[in-house]
Amino acid sequence: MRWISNFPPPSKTFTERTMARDIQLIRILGEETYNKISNSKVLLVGAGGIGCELLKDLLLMGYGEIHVADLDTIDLSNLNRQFLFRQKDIKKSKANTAVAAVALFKGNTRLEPHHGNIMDVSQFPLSWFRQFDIIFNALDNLEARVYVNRMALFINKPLIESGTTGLKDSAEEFIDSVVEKIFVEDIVRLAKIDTLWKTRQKPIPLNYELYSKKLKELPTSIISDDQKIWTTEENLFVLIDSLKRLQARYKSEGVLDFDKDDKDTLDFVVAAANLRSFIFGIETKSEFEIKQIAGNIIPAVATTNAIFAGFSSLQSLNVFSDDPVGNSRLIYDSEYINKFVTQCPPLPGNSNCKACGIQRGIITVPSLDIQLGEIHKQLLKKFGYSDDVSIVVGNNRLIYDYDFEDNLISSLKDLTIGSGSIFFVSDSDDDLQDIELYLEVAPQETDITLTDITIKKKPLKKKESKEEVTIQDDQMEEIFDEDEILLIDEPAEKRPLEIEQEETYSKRKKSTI
Amino acid sequence: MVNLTKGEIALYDRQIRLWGFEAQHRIRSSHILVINFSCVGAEIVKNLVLGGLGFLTIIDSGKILEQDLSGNFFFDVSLLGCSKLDSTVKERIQELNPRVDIVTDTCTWAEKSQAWFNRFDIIICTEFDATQIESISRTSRSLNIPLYVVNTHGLYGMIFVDLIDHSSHLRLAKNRIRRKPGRSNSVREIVHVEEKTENDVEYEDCLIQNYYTSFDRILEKPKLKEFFPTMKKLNKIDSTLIVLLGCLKIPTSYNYPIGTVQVTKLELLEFANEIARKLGLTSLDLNDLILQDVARQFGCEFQPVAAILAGCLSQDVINMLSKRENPINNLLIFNGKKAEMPIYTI
Repeated sequence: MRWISNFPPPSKTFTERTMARDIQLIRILGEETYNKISNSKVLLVGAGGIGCELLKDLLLMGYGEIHVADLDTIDLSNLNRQFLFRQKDIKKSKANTAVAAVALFKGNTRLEPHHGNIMDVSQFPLSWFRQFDIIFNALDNLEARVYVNRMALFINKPLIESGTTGLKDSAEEFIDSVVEKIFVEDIVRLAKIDTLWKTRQKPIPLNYELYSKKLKELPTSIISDDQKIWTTEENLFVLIDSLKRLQARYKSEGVLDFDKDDKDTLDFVVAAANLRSFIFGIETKSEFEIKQIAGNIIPAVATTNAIFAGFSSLQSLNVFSDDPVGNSRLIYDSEYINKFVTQCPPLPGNSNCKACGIQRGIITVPSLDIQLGEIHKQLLKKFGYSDDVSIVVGNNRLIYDYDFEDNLISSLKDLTIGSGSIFFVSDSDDDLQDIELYLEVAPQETDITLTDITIKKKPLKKKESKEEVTIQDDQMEEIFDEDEILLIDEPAEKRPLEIEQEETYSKRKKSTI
Repeated sequence: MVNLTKGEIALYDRQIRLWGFEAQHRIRSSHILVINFSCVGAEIVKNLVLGGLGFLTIIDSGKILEQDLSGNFFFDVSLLGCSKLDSTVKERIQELNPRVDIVTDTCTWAEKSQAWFNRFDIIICTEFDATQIESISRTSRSLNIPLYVVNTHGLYGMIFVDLIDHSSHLRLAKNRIRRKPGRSNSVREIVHVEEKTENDVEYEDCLIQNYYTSFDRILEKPKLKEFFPTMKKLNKIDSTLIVLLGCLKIPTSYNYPIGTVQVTKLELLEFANEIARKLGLTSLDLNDLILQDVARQFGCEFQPVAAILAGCLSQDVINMLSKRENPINNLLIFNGKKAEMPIYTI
């Protein structure tokens, strides 16, 4: 075998040039798949670590058109892996910058950036998602992931999901137990409740007088030493100092939110957390470490992103194969010594799953002046539900059930329901399956239309055994919860119904822990 | 505390949280050589530069062909016919991280003296054939330098590793039975076990020693039978292994126009059979489809595959430098059609 190293004659036409450029792609994929890819339009949600990698891979695979959506802006700590961004790009839109950065090697691919939140229905209505052949998720948060997954299910488009995560586990309990700022009185009170300390170490209130005397001797430079595990007095020093800084800012800026990159708020949280840990006999941590916990920072590196973006783009080839689902794989990082990744075929749907255990459809209305009663009537007629259904909008806003018919005469507009709202209809008799309906407004229509689907019967559930929680445990839990939940912000105005519903929800959640 | 500047800590924040300050410091003090700025080579360069490597030398005497425009994101159409390591290309690499000391060399690596190689802590070769690996491996072995080789053929690829011998720390969840020092197999040994507690979690810190076989000896006394002790297990090995090792016998087509590269299924079969004989895998069912695929895709570079293999290799290099985890010992095989990545010890 000998390869000839002369250059091919200078090619002239556009097609010839493309062919010379893509000759390897054609050999690997075959002409048919290659053509399909170059005629495909795909959506990439997220231009972060995996997103940057995916964008590069998809471009060099020859995808015809790629839209990139991201609401985020660039931060210094992104630059160790989000290789399309530079120091000069900090604070700029990720989507716009990424698209501009790849212009150099983009070949014939058409690119379009979208700076915005993918969950914003006015910017990205369901109809917008319809234009794509494949959707790639490269997101860093669960909420948006779940949302895009739902959109893909509504319109039946292939979705390829990817994500990396580092050390997230130990974080949550710790942060819950720390965000509390009274270190003496409350502790004394708590320490008095003997039942609490049967199995736990009793807290020791902070000897404030003793420590406060030492504070003057401390150098202010301690505040910037974020790798040192501060002593108790150093923590107290930082706490008081950060409180002073926050107080001064409060006068001009008003209410301040915690931000891991806002040094004043971070100092406060670190010092308060450590003091609280000290009281409760929990190991104290450096500011560097607590920033990770409080800021929910997930360690991230270029290599993991590159590997999984590579797999994600490779998996997209299955979409063009004879058996897209059968050929697809779930791929995970492996801990075994004899393989780098583990993989398995896609899992069958779970009837209890919020995403795949329910049916989905689209409801189209001519205008938002339509009354809820009209929709209710159509739902029963079309899908065969009995009268006893409940309708929830969005995450948990109940607008109709058997005992709550007040809204039937209200228009969608009055109920502040609009295009992009999602109805969740469930059968209170547990006879038929639940359905999720995406609302679209189509002024050209005259009637309400619903997707043609037959609602399946609900599979029979086994009777769940009652939770065995002793009263004592319950009480203890509540005492703890009281302290810990206080800091969660409640929206100022709430309908009585919603509160009731949320309360039952949170109670159920607690008892299953 | 190791001396990393405030700027470095801020930039590398997300990865220091994964592998610690000491590892970051080790990465910054290392000098790595990458031979061939191929598709997979470019990916490795990107990963190492982003990771904060101290010194990087890239050597490639090739020119940019049209086919390279779909396989290397540092190139664009205006650079056609230029050297693969043209000054513009170097600038683009440098932009990824101004802190890395980068040297590009457009000479032929084979003409370099032994003394030239001596400055490197690791040598990484991409798209090498057997003859070339034998040659570089003589150098790396005599200079005691760890060696990585990565090759890709379309949807398929492999990584060969020769770290000579290497010790690393492994953090393992506490076992019911305490792990004891001793030989696990002919290439791996637990040297020391220490019980530790961090954040109330108990674990065992194991010091592991890995021993490697040099490239010229992997087919001489293959170790496969030790890890696949029965015929039944041996026969379950994916034949991609022998097909890709067979490919090594064919001269590399790197830096040649792919249109002039033609490998037939038959000649590949011949080489694969030779490998199968040497590895004692003659009864293995040679998958015709894989043979056909690899023959057609021989020497083709494909971005997602390059990204995956370069990611694995770079991760292993970083682990190796930071003396953490178990390194690849010694052959990773990639089958992109099945999304499988087994690691064999041969």
